[in-house]
Amino acid sequence: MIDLRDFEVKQIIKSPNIISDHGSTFVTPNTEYIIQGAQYATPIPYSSYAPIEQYKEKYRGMVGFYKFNRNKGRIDLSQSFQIELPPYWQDLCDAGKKVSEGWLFCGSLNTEMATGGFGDGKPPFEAGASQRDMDYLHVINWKKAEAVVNAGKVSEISGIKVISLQTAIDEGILHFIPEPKSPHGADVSPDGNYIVVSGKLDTHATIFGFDKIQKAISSKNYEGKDPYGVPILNFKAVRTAQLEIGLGPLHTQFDNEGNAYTSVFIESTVAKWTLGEPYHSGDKAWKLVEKMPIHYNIGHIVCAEGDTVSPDGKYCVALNKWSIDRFTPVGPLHPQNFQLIDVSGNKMQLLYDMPIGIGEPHYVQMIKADKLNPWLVYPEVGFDPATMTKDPKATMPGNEGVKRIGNDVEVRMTAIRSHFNPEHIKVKEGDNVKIYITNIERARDATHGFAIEGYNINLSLEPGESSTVEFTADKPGVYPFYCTEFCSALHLEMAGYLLVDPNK
Amino acid sequence: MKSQNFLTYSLFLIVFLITIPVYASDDAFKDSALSWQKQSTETRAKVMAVYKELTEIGDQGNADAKDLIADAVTQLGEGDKQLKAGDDKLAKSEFEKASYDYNMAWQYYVKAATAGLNAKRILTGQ
Repeated sequence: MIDLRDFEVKQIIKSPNIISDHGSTFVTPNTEYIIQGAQYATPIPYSSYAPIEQYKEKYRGMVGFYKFNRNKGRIDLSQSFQIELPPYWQDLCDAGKKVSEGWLFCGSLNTEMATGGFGDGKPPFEAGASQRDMDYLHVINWKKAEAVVNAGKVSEISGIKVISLQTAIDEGILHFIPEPKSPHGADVSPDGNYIVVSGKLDTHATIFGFDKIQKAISSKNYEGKDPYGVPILNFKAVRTAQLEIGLGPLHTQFDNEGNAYTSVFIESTVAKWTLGEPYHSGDKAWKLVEKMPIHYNIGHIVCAEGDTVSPDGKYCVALNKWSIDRFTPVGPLHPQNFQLIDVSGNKMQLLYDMPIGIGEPHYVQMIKADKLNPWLVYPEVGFDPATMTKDPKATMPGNEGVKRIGNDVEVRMTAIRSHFNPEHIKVKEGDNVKIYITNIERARDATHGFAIEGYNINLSLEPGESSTVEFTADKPGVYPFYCTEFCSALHLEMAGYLLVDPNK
Repeated sequence: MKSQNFLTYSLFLIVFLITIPVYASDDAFKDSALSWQKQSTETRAKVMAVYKELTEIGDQGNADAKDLIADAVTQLGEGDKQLKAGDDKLAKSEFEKASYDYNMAWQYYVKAATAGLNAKRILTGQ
C-alpha cells in the first residue's frame, strides 16, 4: 500500500492462503476492495501438504477481496475475505463498472488440471495446460459474496474468512463462461457492458455482453457444469462479438472514442479496433481498424485512464518484453522497452522508446498528473511517514545529545545543511544504540541521507522527516557516518564519527 | 455345460467391461491428437512462409536478425522432432501421448514464429 501523498510504502501484507499470484491487484470501482487472484493451485492453506497425485481432490485456486479502509488508508484484513475456487490457474481480472458494478471477471488457464512432470516422462505444463480449446472466465458476484460473508457462511483459514467453493456455487456467486484457449486478459469496457478476453494461443478477441450474462444466469442457460459443479454459461448466448486480432492477443485498453487497443505478443503489434453499441454501430462496430508494429513482443498495454469509466484517450504505452536492437547494449542483459504511442489521430504514431533497466513492470496505470496532490515537504518537523503523524519521540532542535543508561545509549540527532548534531557518538562495544534523527529542513528537495558503513545503516530523510534506527555496537572500531544525499556545497563535510571503544 | 457356458460368458463380460474404459479414453484423446496434428502442421506451414521470406531477404549482415533466425531454425527443428514423435505414436494408436507430442510441436512452432517475426521486423520494419 503506497500513499500518494509521499509515495512511500505504508503497508505490506502477506496474503493469507495465496503463495503465488499473477492476477493482482485490481480494484472495485470505488476501491471498496483490492482484489488478488492466486496463480498456481495449491492445497488451502498452502502450508498443508498434499501429493501432486491428489491435485484434483486437494488443490484449489483462490481469489481474495481485501477491504480498503479509506479513513486509515490501509487494508483491513479483518473485513476481508477470500473465495475458494477450482484448481484452475486463475489469471488476470477486472472489476465490473457501471452496469456491471458488483461483479468481477477473472480469466483462468490449465482447466485441464495438468500437473506437469517433465523429466519424469510426463508432458510438460506448456503442453498439458493447453490441450483444451476453451478455459473458463470466472464470473463472480462479489456483492453477493459480501452478503454471504456478513451472513456468516464462511470458515476462517489462516486468519481470514473464506467462502467455500460449494457455498459459492450454492449461493450463485460463481459462474463460468468458456473462453478461448489459455486466456490472458479480462478487460471491462468503460460502460461496463463488454468484457473482452483474449486467448494468448488463439487469434481472437472475444467480447461477452454483461446484459447477456445476466440473462443467461437468470434463465439458467447453461451448457453444463464443471467437475466441481460450477455452472457453465452457454458460450453462444453470452458472446456478443469475436474478431480476429492477430497472433497472441493479450490485454485490452480503451480510449474516449469507443476504440479498444489490444496488445498482440507474438506478432509484436498493437491492434486498434472498434467497440459496438453505443460507441459504434452497424458496419463500423467490431472492426479491426489498424495494427501498428512495436518493438518487441508486447505484454501489457496502458492507455490514459483506460481502465476507468472515462478514459482520456490521447496516449497509450506498450510495455514490451524484449528490446533486442533498440538500444546500445551494455552486456547480455537487455532492458524492457516501454514505447509511447500517440493514439489521438487517425493513425497511431510511435513517439518514444524508453528502456526499463530494472525488473519487468507488469501492470500500470496512467492518470492525469493533476489528480495527484503530493506533499513537497512533510507537514511539520519531526514527522513519521509510517504513522503519517508527528513522532512524539522525534528530536527537535535544541534537544540534541547523547545519553547513556547502563548499556543503552540514546542519541538525539538533527540534520541540516551541512552538519549533523552531534558529530561524535562515543559508545562501548556491546552497547545497544538507538538514534532518533530528524531532518529539520523546510525547503523543498532538501533531503539528507544518514549512513554508517560497517553497520549496514543508510537512511534517506526528506524535509521534516524523523526516523529511528537501532543496533548493537558489536564491532569495535571507528565508523564514519555521513550524508548520502547530495545536499549542499559542503555535502562531503556533512559527516561525523561513531567510535566503538573495544572491551578490554 | 450350462455352468461352463456361464463361466465363459462371465469371463467374456469381465474382459469386455475392462476394455470399454480403455477404448472410451483413447477415443477422447484421438480427437485431441488429430486436432493438434492439424494445428501444428498448419502453424508449421505459416512458420515456413516466414522462413521463405527471410531466406529471400537474407540477414543483410544484421547480427541480431541472424541470431533470431538461428533461434527460429532451432525451434523449428525441435518442433519437427515432436511432430515426428506424434506421428509415430498416432500410428500406434497411442492417442494421449500423440496429443501431447503434437501440442509440444505446436509450442515450438509458435516460438519459431515469434523469433522469425522479430527477425523480419528488424530487417524490414514490418
